[in-house]
Amino acid sequence: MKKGEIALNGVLKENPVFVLALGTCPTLAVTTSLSNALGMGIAAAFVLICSNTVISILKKLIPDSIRIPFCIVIIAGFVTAVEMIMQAYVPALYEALGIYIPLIVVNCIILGKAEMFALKNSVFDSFTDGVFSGLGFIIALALMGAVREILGNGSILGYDIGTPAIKIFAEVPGGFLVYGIIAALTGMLNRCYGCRRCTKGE
Amino acid sequence: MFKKYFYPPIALTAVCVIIAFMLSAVNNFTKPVIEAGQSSEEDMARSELLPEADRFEEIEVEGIENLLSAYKAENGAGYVFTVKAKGFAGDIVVLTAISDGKIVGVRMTEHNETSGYGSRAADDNYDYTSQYKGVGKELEGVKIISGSTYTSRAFEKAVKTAFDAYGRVE
Repeated sequence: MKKGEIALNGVLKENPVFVLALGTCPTLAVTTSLSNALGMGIAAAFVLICSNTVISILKKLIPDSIRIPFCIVIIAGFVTAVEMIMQAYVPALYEALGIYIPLIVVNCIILGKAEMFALKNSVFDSFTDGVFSGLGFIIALALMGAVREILGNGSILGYDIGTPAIKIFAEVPGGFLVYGIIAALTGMLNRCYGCRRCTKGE
Repeated sequence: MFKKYFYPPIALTAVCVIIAFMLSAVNNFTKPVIEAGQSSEEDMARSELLPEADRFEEIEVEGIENLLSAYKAENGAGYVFTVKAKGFAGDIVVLTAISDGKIVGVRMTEHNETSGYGSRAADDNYDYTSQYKGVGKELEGVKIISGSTYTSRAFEKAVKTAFDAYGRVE
């Protein structure tokens, strides 16, 4: 598979959050502020890259009948390590993300990528896919977090910018609104990309 | 035969054992940092509420429901009680500093209340917690937050529980 294609797939064409609609639970729950969203994105991306690589290395040793529990054990190992490291060095972020850190284990992006990609592709491709899917996840969360923090709290990264705070955007319904609108825009962007290819006669 | 029935459990056990060992290595590394961070954070909250206290000593108070911890200032400046109560959305945790039967300071440290409504009880810029200063166990003159009755009632209940505990130790 071409590297450029993996990169574009991960970030835009198959953006895990806005196109595949995977991992929407943490997306809606933690994106009330940009810093939380970035923290969650980086933690999940780290786990995704590590688990994709390790599972791809081990793919010959993984028995087909128990591949899911096998992958889950590896993913859970990385998540627990990330959880302990976060609690030790960024306790404020650990407090803010709460239950959603251990829940990275069941983030369907990570298991989905392990199952759909890492078990079938080479180690380097899996690593690349992990990097760009992770990047797609971080970008998606950061976008949601930035929009919701600016509109819902009138601040960005905790700094007051003086715009009025529309509280609903920091709450769950606002999360759904922002999610829907950004997902629609992503769909539009992807369709434009497709159209250009059509007119070129590919 | 081996590949179908024996290999999968062996492989799964092996990976579990390896992961467990790696995690215990990470745990060894992070545990001291986590513990140091936690105790200093709680200590800081307590000394902010009760500035006269030099150091705190944890004490045992039996038979008080919802009391999470009780600390006594070593120089006798007062007590700080950590109490939980059922708020509007899940439990809230309130620290109450009491000296000579009067409140010195209160603070809601953990909550999941509606942002912009119940969350005002945790906001130092909002005049809710400041009205508790100096009141006794009947909470005379403490007003609830308009629009956040559940949160305010839970807060009052937590403070009253702290007074119950204070009654046991003083």
